[in-house]
Amino acid sequence: MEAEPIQNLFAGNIRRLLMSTRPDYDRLYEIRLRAGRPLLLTYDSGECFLREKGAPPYLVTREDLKETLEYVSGYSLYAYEDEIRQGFLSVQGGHRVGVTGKVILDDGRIRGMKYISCINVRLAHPIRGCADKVMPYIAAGDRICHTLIISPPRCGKTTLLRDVIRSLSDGSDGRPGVTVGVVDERCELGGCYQGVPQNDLGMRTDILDGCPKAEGMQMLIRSMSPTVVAVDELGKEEDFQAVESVIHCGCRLIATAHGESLEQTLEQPFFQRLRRMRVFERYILLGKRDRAGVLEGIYDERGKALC
Amino acid sequence: MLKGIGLILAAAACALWGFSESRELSRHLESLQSLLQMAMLLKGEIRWGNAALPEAFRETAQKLPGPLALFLRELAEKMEKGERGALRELFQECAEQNIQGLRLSREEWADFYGLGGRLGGLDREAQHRALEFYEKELEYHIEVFRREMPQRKKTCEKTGVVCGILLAVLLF
Repeated sequence: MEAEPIQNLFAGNIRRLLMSTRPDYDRLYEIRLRAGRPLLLTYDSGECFLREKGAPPYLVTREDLKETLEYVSGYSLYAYEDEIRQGFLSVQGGHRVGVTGKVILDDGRIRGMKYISCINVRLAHPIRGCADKVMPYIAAGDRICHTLIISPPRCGKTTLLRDVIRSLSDGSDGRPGVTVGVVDERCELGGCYQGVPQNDLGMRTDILDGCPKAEGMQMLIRSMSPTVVAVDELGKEEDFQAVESVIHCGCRLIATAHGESLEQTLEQPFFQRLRRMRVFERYILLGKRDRAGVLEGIYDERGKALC
Repeated sequence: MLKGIGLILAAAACALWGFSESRELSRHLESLQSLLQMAMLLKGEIRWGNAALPEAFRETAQKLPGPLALFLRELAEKMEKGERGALRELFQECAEQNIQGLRLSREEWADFYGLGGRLGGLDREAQHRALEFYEKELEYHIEVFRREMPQRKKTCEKTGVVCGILLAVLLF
């Protein structure tokens, strides 16, 4: 991973430190800035403070936070009102910058944020090929199964969905590529920056960035003729009708959901209804043992284990 | 004979200088109008497209000719690269490198740099107000200039001709 675009997100003092200490960005997941606290780096193996050799940990100042936010937003925080409301901005490279501070409310609705106290830069690490194991169960020849990927938080379901989308879109192993429509409500799948996806979602993929799932699914099937519709974190009541529309017009649905296990997920009222309709043909369960993205099992529509 | 030619040339040079100054006044007005166009386009990009400043500068640069387009493009590039410095400083730096050829008075340059200091706030409305305020400043300068320009142009041209004649007489 290139260091310069990441370093250029930060205030001058921090930038200099990053340039001199040269962290391993390929293994680095988060760079966390908290006002008055040491700057924290989170790797896959653990955490450490950012510091020069022999020096105490670098303490982040309010000016560092302000300057960093200016670079992250292109001096245009006003243009990221919707993103701030969600708590993060997407930057070039598919990385996400989470922001916390004092929330500004307007009629009970979050309007913005001030007195920023913490900035968390989460580095994107797409894992190309992580869907190779599951693709034979999802797609065989022309047939693509409606699939639900289930996992607890931070276990890799979005990463897996991303690679499934790419694989379906590009095609592989004699399977032709298909048009995939993605409703990227939380801007995590494509990581679009100024409309351009920063993550590789394949050559035949159309992305609705920042669009609510229910409306987005309807928009895609009306105008983009997708073969597959992909969404992240299905489960809200308003998504149900949109899911029905997707199924009834012949598109295949690939989605993710939060859940500790298949049974627990299918007990939720939303998924109970979908189960009664026999919508999903494949359930992929992920877990986290020594690392995220561990494949716990693949099940058919009746819950029978396929692997 | 030669002296006569020399006197005519000297007189003509003075007259041409007068006309050149008159032409510069027209360029001054064009500079102010270009800046007004730039401010209006920027306001549109921010109001309707909710564009971040680098994007607004880039889109506006595509619709403007000449040095202003270069200024906006370079500024957008510096901002996107994360070059260090407050926006006000980057704004001034890019202006000094690209548009020093614009015919503006000291007060007008101060207003222009002031815009760089007011952009980049938290609120979209604040961007509109900053650009609207700058538009009003420009409109005032343009109005005053338009009112005074015919007289000033005549003065420049006549001064050039008169100086030319006077020089010819003195040299004769």
